Amino acid sequence: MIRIIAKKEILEQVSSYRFAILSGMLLLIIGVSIFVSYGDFLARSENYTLNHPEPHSSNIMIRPTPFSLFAKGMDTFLGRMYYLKYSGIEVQGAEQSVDRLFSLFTQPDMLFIVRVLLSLIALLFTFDAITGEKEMGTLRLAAIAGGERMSLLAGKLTGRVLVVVIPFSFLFVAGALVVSLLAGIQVSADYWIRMAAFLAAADEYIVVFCAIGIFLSTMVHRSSSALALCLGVWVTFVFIVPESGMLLARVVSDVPPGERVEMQGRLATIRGIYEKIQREGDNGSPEGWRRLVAEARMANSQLIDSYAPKLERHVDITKDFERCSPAGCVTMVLTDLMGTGLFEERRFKNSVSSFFERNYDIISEVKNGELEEYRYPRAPVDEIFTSGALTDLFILACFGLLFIGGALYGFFRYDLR
Amino acid sequence: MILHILQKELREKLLDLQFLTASLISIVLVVLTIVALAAIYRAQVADFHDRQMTQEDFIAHYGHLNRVGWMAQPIRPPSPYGYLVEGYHPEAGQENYLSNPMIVLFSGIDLIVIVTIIMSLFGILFSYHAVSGEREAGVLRLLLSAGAPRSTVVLGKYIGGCISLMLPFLIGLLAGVAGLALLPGVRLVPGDAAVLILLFIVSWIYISFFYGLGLYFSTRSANSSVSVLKSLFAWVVLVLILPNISPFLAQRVYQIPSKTKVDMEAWRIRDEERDKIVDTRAKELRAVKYADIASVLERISLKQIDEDLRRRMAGDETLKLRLAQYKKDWMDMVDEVNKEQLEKTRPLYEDLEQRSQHQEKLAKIFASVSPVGNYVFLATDLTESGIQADDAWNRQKEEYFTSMSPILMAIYNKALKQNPRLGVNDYIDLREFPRFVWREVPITERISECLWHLAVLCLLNVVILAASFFSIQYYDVR
Repeated sequence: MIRIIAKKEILEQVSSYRFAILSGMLLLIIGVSIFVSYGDFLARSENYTLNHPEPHSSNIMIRPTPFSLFAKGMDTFLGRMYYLKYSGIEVQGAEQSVDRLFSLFTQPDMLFIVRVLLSLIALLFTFDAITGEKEMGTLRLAAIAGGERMSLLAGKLTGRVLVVVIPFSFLFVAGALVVSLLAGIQVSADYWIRMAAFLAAADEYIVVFCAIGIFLSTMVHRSSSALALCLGVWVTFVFIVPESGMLLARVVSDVPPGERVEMQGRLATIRGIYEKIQREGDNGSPEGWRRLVAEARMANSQLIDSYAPKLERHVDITKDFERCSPAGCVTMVLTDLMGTGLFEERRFKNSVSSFFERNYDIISEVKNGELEEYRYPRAPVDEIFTSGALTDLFILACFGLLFIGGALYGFFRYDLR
Repeated sequence: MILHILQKELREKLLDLQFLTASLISIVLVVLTIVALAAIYRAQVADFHDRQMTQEDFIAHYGHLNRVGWMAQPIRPPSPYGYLVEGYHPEAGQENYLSNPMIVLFSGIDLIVIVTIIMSLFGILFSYHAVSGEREAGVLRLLLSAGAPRSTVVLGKYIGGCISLMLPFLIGLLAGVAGLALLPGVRLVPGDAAVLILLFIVSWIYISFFYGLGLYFSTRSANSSVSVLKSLFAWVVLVLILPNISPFLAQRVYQIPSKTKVDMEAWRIRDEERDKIVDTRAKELRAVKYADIASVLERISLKQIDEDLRRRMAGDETLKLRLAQYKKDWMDMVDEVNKEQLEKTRPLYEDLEQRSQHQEKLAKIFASVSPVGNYVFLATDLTESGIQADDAWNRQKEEYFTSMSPILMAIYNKALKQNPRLGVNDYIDLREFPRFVWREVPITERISECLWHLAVLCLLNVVILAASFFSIQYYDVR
């Protein structure tokens, strides 16, 4: 029974006007996304080639990842030059002034397509799953013909999920294949594992929004009302909750801006130099320099020790708020999977900080010697999964189950007349 | 006739449950956003004053000539309309090692998000069935048979829809601003009224466009289910795709070298090339003016200063004098070469600056194809939180650094007269030293800079309305 209904749903949807228009839109956007993201990746790769430091340098820069074509996340910032100095770690500024515009708009990468457009498409395919049939009178007919409500709903959900998942999966795989053939993209087994993980997470997200669409369709009796409700929920889950989450986290946590911390570090360094010169004159002894370096290090450590926990708490609070919406979860899981998310950022900065600590005496010229060679392999997929991606996927699954449960409840109480 | 249609539209909308729900949502959202942003704004203002005090206190205790530029860094105050629009967030650039990373992944909600996404979607939602829905219900046929001209029907629906859509937004905005007056730490001045009114008008024009878009597709579709799909497709393209790809498209169409590339070229000119020129000119100098002491200079440059040469240099006054002359000439020559090389790098940076401006302008033009781009530039420029304010900040910072050098030297020289042994690393009283004061961009300048975005928004409205007029003439009302 489920199979028959699912097949009917697929055939009905595939021959519809909306399937043509929405699939066309998806194809167009995925093409544009790959074109635009690849250009951005090439610009960053060129910058890396020109700029990357020598192996034993005190400057650090990591190569941009091709996975940023799919979820750019924080890759621009991870790929900047980090200058390790006795006074602390400094970050290179923006490369191009047009970068300012990027903060006003969002990059239309694959993550954006999944998070914003695919969720909308999923809702547009499901909002009339129940109400549409009720309006046409076919729902009553199906019930009279002996169709159980459970089977009807399962068939509808399966059919409509497949109508969204199959074209998207096909276009995504084609896109991944095209990307793998582009110049400058190195493809290994890891590439395809990450692509598979991306697709699986995106499909899970589609299921959640299909479930929402069907759930809302069981809540009302007219398709126009269902559509209005779906758009309201879409705006809430995709824009209002994630963006308000960020706002609320800023209100709740008292984390000072990074500029302030930078200023305190700078002033501490100037004070150290000033006091050293007052003590020993301009051409002080090596002992004086050592003392200055030790003081600067202590001042910076104190600053970081007092600031870092606040920042971490702020990040954790924001993540908790973001997890109240499927869009927040999918953003975190997909950026993490592509090695451009918060987990990678924290991991990379921890690695830079520990390199800095280990080599501080040489960087600050207190000791002579050669610096270690800095190497940073991005986190492998298994580490990403165990570090938090599974939690986000689990929350997404919970959202899915919640709305499927809600749809079941709603449909069992639904007046088919 | 138009008044009757207008009245009908307003009555229908204002009594519609969906419309009332949407209105309630938008009012609550606007008020809550303003209140939350006001809390953040207050914290930013407090942090700004605190940072200023810390810096002042530091200069009072450790002020010395050598590192004034480093310790007296200009501090940018938060945008005075931060409770409405966040705009270009300084931390979005992640300029510091400890910058907050969340801002990159999730931008906060503000008036721009509410208007560009939520209100525009409401605009579509309440207009997609304006004509096709009435056709389906049979009302359109009745209306036209009663003698209402088709264009009047569209105009009445457009005006009625725009008015009813703006009411909840206006109520929310007024309630939010009224709430601000009750909150401590946010001071509203009479000049703010002009910005608020302008922002409201711009938002209205923007939302009206989307109402018009839904109306247009309604006149192009026989039934509402097709009309909503077409409208949403257009909305996705105009709101989510076009503005977002514009900076990246501009980056691809008009490619410019990265700052690092230019820095590397400048470094090559100022360092490697300079050393070669200095070397050649030093040889010329020795050959032309100091041929008599050429062998001594050769040995000095090769660091072959043995006992014999040391004795000669100590005992021979003429040689000592010649060497001192050579040293002076050599240093003058190096200074000159440094200046020449610096001059050579200037066009590189000027060119980069010019091309960057062109690239940014192109990105803005691309973004202006969509109403969202125009609205974002208008709203951020009006509230001093956009590119225009950032340019003003960079300009004022540069002016400050340029103007502070002579004043600083005057203070130092004055102190030097009182204490001739004063060094550049010794404490000096810097109370007279001018501090950086941010000057707001005048409202007239802000408006004149973004007038063309307003013109484009108005033009888009006219175009969509004209298209609807045209389309309704051929609409099959049966």
